[in-house]
Amino acid sequence: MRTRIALLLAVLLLMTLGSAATAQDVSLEMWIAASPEELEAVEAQVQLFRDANPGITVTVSAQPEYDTQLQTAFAAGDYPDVFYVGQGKFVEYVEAGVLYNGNDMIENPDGLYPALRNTFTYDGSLYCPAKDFSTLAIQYNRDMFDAAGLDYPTADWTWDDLRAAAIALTNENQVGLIANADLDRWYAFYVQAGGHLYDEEGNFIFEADPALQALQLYADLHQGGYAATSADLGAGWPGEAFGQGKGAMTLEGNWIISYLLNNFPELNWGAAEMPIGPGSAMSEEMGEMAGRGTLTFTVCLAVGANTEFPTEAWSLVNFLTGEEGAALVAETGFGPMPSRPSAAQLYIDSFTMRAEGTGLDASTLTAFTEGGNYAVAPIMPPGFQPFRDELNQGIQAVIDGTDTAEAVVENVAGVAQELIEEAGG
Amino acid sequence: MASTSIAVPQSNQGPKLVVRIVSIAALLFLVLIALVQIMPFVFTVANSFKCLPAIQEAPMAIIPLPPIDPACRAENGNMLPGSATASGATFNPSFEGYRAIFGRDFGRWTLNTAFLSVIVTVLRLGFDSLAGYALARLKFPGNRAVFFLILGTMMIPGVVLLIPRFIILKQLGMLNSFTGIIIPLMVDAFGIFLMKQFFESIPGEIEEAAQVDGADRFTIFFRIVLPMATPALTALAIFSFQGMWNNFLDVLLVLQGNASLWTLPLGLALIRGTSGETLDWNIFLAGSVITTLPLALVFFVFQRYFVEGVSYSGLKG
Amino acid sequence: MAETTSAAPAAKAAQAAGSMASKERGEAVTGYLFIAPAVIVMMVFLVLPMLAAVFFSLTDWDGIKPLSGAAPFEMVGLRNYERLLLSEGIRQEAFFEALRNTVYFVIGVVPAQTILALTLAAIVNQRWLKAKGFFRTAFYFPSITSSVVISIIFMWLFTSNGVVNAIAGAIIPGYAADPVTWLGDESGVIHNLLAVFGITRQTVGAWAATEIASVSLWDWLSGPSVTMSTIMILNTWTTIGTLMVIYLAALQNIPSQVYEAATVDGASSLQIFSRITVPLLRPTTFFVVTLGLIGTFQVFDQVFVISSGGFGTTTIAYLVYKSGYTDSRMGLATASAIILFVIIFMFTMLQRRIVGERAND
Repeated sequence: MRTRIALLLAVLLLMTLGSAATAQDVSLEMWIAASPEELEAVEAQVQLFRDANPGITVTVSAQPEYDTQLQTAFAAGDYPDVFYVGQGKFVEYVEAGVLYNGNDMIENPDGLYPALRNTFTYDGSLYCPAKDFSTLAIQYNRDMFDAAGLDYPTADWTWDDLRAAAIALTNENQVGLIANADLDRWYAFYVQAGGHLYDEEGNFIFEADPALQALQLYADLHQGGYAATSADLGAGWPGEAFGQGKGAMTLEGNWIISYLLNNFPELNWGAAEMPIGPGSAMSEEMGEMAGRGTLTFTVCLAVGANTEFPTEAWSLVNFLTGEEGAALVAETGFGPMPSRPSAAQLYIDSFTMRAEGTGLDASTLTAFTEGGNYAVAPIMPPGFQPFRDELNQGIQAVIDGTDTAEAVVENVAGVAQELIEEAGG
Repeated sequence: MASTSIAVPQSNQGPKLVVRIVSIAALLFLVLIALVQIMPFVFTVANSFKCLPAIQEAPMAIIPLPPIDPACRAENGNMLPGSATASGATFNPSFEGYRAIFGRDFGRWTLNTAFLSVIVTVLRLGFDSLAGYALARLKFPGNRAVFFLILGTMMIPGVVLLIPRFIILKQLGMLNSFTGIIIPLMVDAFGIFLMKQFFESIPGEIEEAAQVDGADRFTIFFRIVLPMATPALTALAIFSFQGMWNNFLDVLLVLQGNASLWTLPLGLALIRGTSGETLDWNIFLAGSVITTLPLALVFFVFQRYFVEGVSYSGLKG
Repeated sequence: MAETTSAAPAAKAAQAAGSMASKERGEAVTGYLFIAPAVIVMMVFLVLPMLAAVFFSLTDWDGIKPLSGAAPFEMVGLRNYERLLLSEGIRQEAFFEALRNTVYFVIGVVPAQTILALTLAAIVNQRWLKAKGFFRTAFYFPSITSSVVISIIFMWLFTSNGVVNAIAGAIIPGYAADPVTWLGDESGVIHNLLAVFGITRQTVGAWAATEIASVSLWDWLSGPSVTMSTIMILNTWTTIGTLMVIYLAALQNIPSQVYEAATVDGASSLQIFSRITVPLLRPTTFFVVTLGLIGTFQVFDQVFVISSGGFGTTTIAYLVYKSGYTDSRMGLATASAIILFVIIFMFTMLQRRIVGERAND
């Protein structure tokens, strides 16, 4: 027995000795958060870069539990050269000093959607170019609209149109709208009502008036039975409930396109821009498209602050996020949109091909690309998780009717105030 | 040995008919519980053999019907509607999920997982029982303190230990290697605790007799104590193997992106993708089946060692 | 290893009696030798990181700034603990709500999983049972699958138009009209029960608004939320297999002579089980309950997969993860973890006194 254990230990020792790394001239390590499809697509793009730059070795790896892994690597001071940064983590990472300031390195930043430029700008510097993005839009079931004798939603739909349609489309088999108590949807309505996440000095704000209006819209629809959450409908998420025909409309981002094509190829559906809300005097003053609002969800491709090879790392990033990279994102079409408007048409075209023979009207997918012109990223300052939790709970309480919109707004504003003070002192 | 198997409980003196009825009812009840426990896995297997739209169309269908392996997609690559391959309780089994799995390095991942699981299990059987025995039987200053120290390591959420552990692994040069996975996992608090409790519950007279006969502690441990511990070692082997087989976080921490060393849980997590919402169910479920079946087999084989009387059969006779 | 010297037993015995001191020393050396690998590995990979966590809990580290870099954090003393435990506010509220959720979880799951596991183990240990291997494997099945996979499958069973509600609707009259939203209901089950008798926050009186640790008395008494109860069922269901195996191993250890003697005395199966088997399994029960406490107090995976902390399911372990990894408050996260450690340790000691002491020492 003892000899056997000794033998095992010897084997283990040999294994360690065998795994010594070999040094390369220039080698870049790139981490991505990805599904297998995206990993394949990125690997193919990187291969083009390798072909053009034979002196540079690039290893791409997809990390499960991406944010946890990346944070651990940061803390240990041993992180990759190039990596994805989700919008929600961007400010934290900049403040922790782990991102290389890309202001002088990023090629053609003006070719990016303005919303994406804003999202990854900190203190006037654009730190990293967005790789791709999604926006929220209305998805509608064409059969249900036809059956109710309603016109399909259009870009100039208002809240009243949405409300009227949701009411008209509700019957014993379906609800008008599938909407969860999720601030990553709800904030679009807050913006449509003229609300802002940050004031002009960049301080976080939570405006009571637009918040009340957006909450009231949810309350009206849900308590009237014209809207329901995916949990109420017995689905894991709104996209599933929509695919199963349990609701006539829902509010999701680009990820829903492939999902519906793969899982519900027969579903007849289209997309429309988010409705126009009441807006506010303040937002008109600031020259915003009054009442327009959607949310964006995006990742950028960042370079690590401690990379040994900044020039090469940035040339890889520029390759992947430039015009050519954007075109590749559009063509591979695993879901999100290219971060440059120049490739928007290509994106629509590639889905038009994929949608052939299915129930999707691919021409309506412009609703997503159009959203890129006015979208806002729902980003809170670092340490604001309790605010998110409180707001999500509040939306749920309003939906359930266990709390009034006024009480929720007061409570949430209080939490925001407390967190602002905590961050200040 | 306990080889006198009788079909009915022997203790009751009532009429045989009653006994029979009671035992049949009990058996039916057991079958019912067994079904509740197994049904989720049956659904997993059934759905792993469906085309994607068919899972949505008829998620509860569990009866496979020909044609076997229908094409899930039309010629232009689009998915066929779910009604084409499933309805009601029946479905046409497709291998699409499994084909996708095996296109993704699953063979390598399975081998890695099996290798790590065997090594870790063997090491734990040795080191956990050594430590458990010392804590249960041997008197040395600090015995209690060590026990509470070991117990204490189980009481803190593992997520706060990730960063310090990562740094230690890095300092020791153990990142991106199997060594970095095996060494930290070669003993575990749970296993030591299990073995300690077990050793405490067996009478000490046998060892004392052997000691009087002049045997040293090593001999006593390997020759007398370990053979008596078959049931506990069996349990430990099952738990260790399974724990390593399903281990996600420890492996991820060490391996990072080194996909050639990856294990099944990491592969499965990759397939789940970053947002669980849009995953391809058939592939994910196929991966789950492949991950679960070997464990079920291991358990089935090992549970045979839970036989009453093993521990004393050779000693008290 | 095959050196069993067989000297004359009598001489050996005399020698042993003569040198008690050296024998004790020898035993101690052997003890250290046996325990050394375990202690070394645990010191390096668990205790050291735990000490690091204690240290981080005294800082304002965000968990991101490289520790090797310049000034990754400032020492803040016990401020994180104070914020969680003493100062009224959002962090205290979050912590104590999580504590409440966790305690309800523990109270619900530990007794259930222990009793069910013991029952199943006793059944599959019966001699008369045929196809033992099948039943044992079947009962163990939910424990085999990784918790993520089983949680996902479970969600599918418990969606509001899933299998569970379909069966319940068929059995219980009127259920189908108003089914339980298992995965999306944050109302507390005790609150719901009280509501049946017309007791709500509005009718119960002013005392309910009194806040203790930023959580109102009424909310303390909520019971686990409906969704938390669903996770409790899931957790029980997946752990009984593991605990059953532990009991099964322990049952092999009870000499069959004990049963035979009892049978001769005319005891029924049930009497034997409750008067002989259960008391003899006391050390195992201590073990199982200790494991249960440690495991349930730290429940994380299933919360992560099923509800991401929503609908009243944020447990302390989940809060730790959230503040450390999504909220960039590693100082607060580690402080919460240390407090949880102390709580679990105290509970373990307490139950050692109640269940374990006599049988164990």
